[in-house]
Amino acid sequence: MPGIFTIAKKEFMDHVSDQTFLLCFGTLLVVMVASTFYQLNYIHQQMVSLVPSAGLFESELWKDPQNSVMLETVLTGDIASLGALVAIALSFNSINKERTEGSLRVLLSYPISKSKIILGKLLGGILVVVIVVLTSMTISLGIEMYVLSIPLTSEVFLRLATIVGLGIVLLVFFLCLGTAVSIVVRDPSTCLISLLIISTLLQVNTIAMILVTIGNIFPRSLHINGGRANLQYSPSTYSWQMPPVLSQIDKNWLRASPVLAYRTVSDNIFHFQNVFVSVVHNTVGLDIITIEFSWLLPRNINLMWTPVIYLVVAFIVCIVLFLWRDVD
Amino acid sequence: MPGISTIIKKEISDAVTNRSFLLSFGILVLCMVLAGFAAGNTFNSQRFGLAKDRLLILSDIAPIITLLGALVAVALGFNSINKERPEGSLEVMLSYPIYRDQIILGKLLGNLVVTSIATTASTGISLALYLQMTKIVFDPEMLVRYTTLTLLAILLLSGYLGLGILLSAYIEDPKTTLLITFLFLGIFNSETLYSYGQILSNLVYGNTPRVWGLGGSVPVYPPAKALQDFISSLSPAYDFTSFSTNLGNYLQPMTLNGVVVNSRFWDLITNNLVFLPVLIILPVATFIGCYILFTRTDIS
Repeated sequence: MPGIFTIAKKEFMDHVSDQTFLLCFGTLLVVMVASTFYQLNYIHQQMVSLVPSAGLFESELWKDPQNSVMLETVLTGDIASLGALVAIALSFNSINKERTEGSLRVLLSYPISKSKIILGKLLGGILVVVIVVLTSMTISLGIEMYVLSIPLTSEVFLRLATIVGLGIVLLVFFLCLGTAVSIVVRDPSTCLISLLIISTLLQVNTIAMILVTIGNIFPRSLHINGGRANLQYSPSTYSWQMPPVLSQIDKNWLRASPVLAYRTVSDNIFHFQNVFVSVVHNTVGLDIITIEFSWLLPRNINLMWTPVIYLVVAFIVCIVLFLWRDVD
Repeated sequence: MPGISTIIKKEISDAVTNRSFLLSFGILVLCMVLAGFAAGNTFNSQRFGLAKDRLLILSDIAPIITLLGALVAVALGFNSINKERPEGSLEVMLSYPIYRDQIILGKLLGNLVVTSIATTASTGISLALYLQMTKIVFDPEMLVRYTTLTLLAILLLSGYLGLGILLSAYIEDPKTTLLITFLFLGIFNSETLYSYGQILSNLVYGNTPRVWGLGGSVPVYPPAKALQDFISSLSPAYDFTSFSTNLGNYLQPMTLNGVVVNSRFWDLITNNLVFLPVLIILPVATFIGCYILFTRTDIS
């Protein structure tokens, strides 16, 4: 264990003093602050239109479904795109650079096993990723909560903890992926462009697009829309249009991309209440139904597993590749 | 001129054997085919519904161009100069009877030709698949709109290409060039400039009343709106996406601040002129920057 921590400490110090990392992290912060104000402006505008009709307390207008989802949706998008870039910047030359420079060979001449080296490297990277996500999300969400006077209740905290936790899982997946590619591909430039292509493909959710296309080419047993499954995927809006009977298939297909799964879970769990118009004894009223986290969690657990599974697979692949591949 | 055309030919042959370019172009074509299929399917299922956008495909392929098309342009540009420096091929090239400006012009034009062909081919494949699936008759109005989208996409990707080559001429390490280019793309593809436009407009003109507009809320007070629109339009991706969406939705007239922005083609052009300057200036400025930097800095 001391060996792992020594390597992790060295990696951590290397990362936090790396100019490229600092540039990427700085850009992420600038973009996330901009997104925070974008979201706040949207919510303020929405509140102005809600005040006369909603019949809600003004201090609780942020709980309206259209507003509550805007507390995080752009932020999680930034974490999934620019945050992924930070994780890639941390990992794309973590192994191949040391291999070329010969420092990996020097490291192995010390009494330390290969598994400790890779675990230490990953641990150092994970620590940096945790700091990146915690800092950026805390600043952004802190500004929002202060401006909108949102109290930090357990319901709010659990939702925040979930999106921050899943954000960390997603970026650690990109870190492990970057390290794995860095073990296989010797040239850092090729390694970096390969990772950027993979990351971009996961943003567009190409896997789901391919599956939907195949699903549409082959007629299904369900006789919908002339014998074809009526599933469409619109890349511009990420909206899925389908008959309700196929909702389970849709959910499974969303799992194809950890990025989209993360964004969908985040959007789903940032619902605090639903408002229904009710008519009782000829009197029109508003029924406000509170949505609790404990109700939302089991309904989104399938999607939550997606980034976790991707992370576990990438982590194992990373370790196995490093142990099996020759150092030279 | 013979010198430039030789360099152009070399750049084109280099590009078509460049693995990064081929990979990103292959992925772009794949996604464009999938988008064509998805848009065709959506149109067919809504054929009898209220929403009938005959050129639905244009607004669907716009985000793919801004993300994956950008990858193609960046893959071509990010190491076009700094890779040749350590290899010594630039010095070898300059030992031949050819001027520096001919080399950089050849490089820029060669990569521009490849980018244009890649963009036209990918949008063409997507449109062909869409038309085949939907059996829509391709009328002159559609042709004009499709050509406009392709030209806008070429402008956008030329800007990204120029940015990549400019950074490649300035920064010695290709990896750093690639990362910085992607940081720029990240800023262009997010709401960053729009949001800072909003903040600056509020700082200068105070919290004036706002209405819903393109991309979010816009101030009613004209100078505040002009300032916010100006900063938002500094993002070429925002300009391209906004223009493409208006190009595609022409059967559903969209009103923005009391003005119909997309009913006829010429109305569309005149009402969307605000999106053009940055799309034109970015490639021109980056190409000029590359020319100046390359001709005035040391090669070794």
